[in-house]
Amino acid sequence: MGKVIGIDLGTTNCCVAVMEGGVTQIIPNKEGGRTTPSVVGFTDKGERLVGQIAKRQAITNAANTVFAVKRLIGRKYNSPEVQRAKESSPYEITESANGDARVRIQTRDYSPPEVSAIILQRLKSAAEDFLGDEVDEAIITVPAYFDDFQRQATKDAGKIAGLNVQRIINEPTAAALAYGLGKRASEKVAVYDLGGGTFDISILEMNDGVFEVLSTCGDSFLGGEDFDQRIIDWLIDEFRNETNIDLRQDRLALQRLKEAAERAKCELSNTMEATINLPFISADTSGPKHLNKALSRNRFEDLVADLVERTVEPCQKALWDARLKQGDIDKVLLVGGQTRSPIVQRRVEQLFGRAPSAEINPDEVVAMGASIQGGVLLGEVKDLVLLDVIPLSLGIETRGGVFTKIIDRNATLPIKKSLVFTTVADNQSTVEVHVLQGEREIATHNRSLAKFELVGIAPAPRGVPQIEVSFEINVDGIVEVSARDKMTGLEQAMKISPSSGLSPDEIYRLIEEAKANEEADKQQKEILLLKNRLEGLLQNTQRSFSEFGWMLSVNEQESVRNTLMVAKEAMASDDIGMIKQNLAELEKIGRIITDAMFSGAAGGLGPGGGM
Amino acid sequence: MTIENTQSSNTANAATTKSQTTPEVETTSSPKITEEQPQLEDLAEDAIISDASETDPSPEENTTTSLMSESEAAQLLIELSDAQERAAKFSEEKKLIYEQLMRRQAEFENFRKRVERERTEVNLQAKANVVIELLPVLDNLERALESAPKGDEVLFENILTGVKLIHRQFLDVLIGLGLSPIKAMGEAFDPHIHEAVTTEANNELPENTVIAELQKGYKLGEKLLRPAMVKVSVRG
Repeated sequence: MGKVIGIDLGTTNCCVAVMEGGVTQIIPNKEGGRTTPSVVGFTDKGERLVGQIAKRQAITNAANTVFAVKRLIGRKYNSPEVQRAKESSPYEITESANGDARVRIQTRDYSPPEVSAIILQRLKSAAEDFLGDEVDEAIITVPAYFDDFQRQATKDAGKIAGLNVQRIINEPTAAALAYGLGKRASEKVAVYDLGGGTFDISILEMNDGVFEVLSTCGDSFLGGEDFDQRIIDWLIDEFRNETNIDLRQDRLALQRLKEAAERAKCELSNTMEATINLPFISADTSGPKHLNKALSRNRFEDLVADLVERTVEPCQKALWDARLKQGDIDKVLLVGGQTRSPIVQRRVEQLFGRAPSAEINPDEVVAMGASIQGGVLLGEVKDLVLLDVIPLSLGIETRGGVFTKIIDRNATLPIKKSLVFTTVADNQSTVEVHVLQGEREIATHNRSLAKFELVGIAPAPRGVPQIEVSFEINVDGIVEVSARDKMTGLEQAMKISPSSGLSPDEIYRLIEEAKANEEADKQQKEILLLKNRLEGLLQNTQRSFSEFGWMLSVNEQESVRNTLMVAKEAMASDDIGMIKQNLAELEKIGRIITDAMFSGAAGGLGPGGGM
Repeated sequence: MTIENTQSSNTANAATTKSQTTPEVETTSSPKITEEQPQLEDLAEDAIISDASETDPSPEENTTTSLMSESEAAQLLIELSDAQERAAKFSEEKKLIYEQLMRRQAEFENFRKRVERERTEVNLQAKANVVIELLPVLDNLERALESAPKGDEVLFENILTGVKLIHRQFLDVLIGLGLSPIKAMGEAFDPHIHEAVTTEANNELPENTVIAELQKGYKLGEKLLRPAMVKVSVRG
């Protein structure tokens, strides 16, 4: 086992870190960025583009460019989250045979784990380039509210990408690890995560290495991009008032505004005023128009105040759900780039009565925490144990559709627990055991995991039979549920492996496919390199031929011309064999020309030397 | 190279097994002790038996010595078992430390190579950081020149020519630093160097052809500084 990389697989951006010599390091992607946009583009040539490059072609290929696939992972097509994502997705979301959400790209359906795997594969290969060694092991973070399906689906994504996912850990937990928390007994921490497109608040309690999630809340459609938009709108309005020109109609102007707005926003985190200077932004009959505006921090804060306010209620709700008061929180951590804005930090301080910690880059803190967990697994980090807990409560449906919890969330694994139930009707001979996961009181609001029946209960008045339902979860998170009639000893049991909706066969097939794609990528790279060489050689040969070609015999000249033509054609093909052959041919004629040059030169010098 | 790689993966493998057993270090090491103990007890019995046979001829003196040696033997045995336990612990620790050392060594080798690689990049990156900040100035200078009206005044013409020369000078400085513009107009759209900001229906040109360049893109050496912002043809 080599290094274990920590991956923050975000809705809008991903970040990868690794622990080296006891220090965490961010791994840059191939383009040099420290974060990678979570975007995958499928081109009609069959290429898979990832990150910034996928983003650049999105507008020309909207139906085949997948954004924010995290909103779909491990979810059913009918779930409200998927339906909401469907409204804002330029790509098609479909339903699979088992009811899962799928993404349709050029007539083929992709499961969300497959799409995530394409991103992960790219991150893995960047990490391998960076470390100069194979990377097979990873820790991936997920939001604290992810259920077993979503966690397993994320794990499967890793598997498809050729990564052995050692652990799935919660994003807020990772942030706490990065801040070195968890070593003291009993600390309560609030993690405020305002990213590019989502807002999450999580309240954690740490007790000797056990990180418990007390509550989570958030707004899945609120993020830094909304803040940028406010500045853009303001600039457009101001400009219209001054010039009567609507910049909304001008794509280039909008692009320039977007970049300027983001820049101004970042500047305002450190300065009281930012200047937005966009000369020649537009023109009318009277000539060119310039946009030159000063945006003060106060003005900016007015523009975004309501966005910041939208995070308040989820925070209060999270505190309430955790049964805590404002003063009970020992530490507040900031995650996500938007938390750099002073207005956000001030509001957070007001909310929790404590200045938040913001020393670690909020875009990277989660990946860093994940890499620390990797260090723990490798034995590099000693004084920290992270125990696995069950993220959401498990239980069964009981009379009236009520959800009765048997194992409470945050229970440390492994665990075994049972409860005794009884029949609701006289002479009832079967009971249905419907296993669910979640925190809601009404069974149907929770996630259904499995259903089975216990038959052959001896006839008895209702309320008399004693049926013991036991839940056992092992360290790998596999749940075994059994129901036993205490009188007859009759027992029925079933194993529930966490499943992402993909069968083992499917996962195997997808792994093979991903490998094939990796192979294709490598080949693509080789072709590119060979073509570059061919192009260079072609240019050189052409140059020397035009200079010294006259020294060759007519036949030779003819054959050189032919070779050059064939080589030019080969530039357009992707056939490795053909490119290689042409390279060899060009090298051959290159030698002929050089020979001719030297012999010609020698011949020319001969008489001169004789003089 | 190959040797290093296998070495690092080997040590890393060993480290896996280790990290998996760490929580149970106590339980794994204690069986070893119990395994060795029977031998110790055998030894002890032997010692006592042989002592007893020697004591027979002269009981008086030897009772005390045998008592002495018995307690001494017991003491020594305890010490021996302690020492063995410690030795086992040390060798276990040594193994761990060795593994960690090998892993660090491999890590350091890879780190050294990376630093080497990065050193060449750092220079380019520093240059890139400066040039990228200058690009908007270049853009705006070009925008200014493009929107200059066809002047009829000689004075205006002269100033315009002067500004054009400044533009040329500025561009030359940047080119001297390694800047090169990216081809866009009429090329096939390539997201590696182009950024599509809008599309337009066009059935005459092949699909995905750059039909307008809204903002120039630049490379510094082989490094992409900024993609060209383009309009791309789509089927109408």
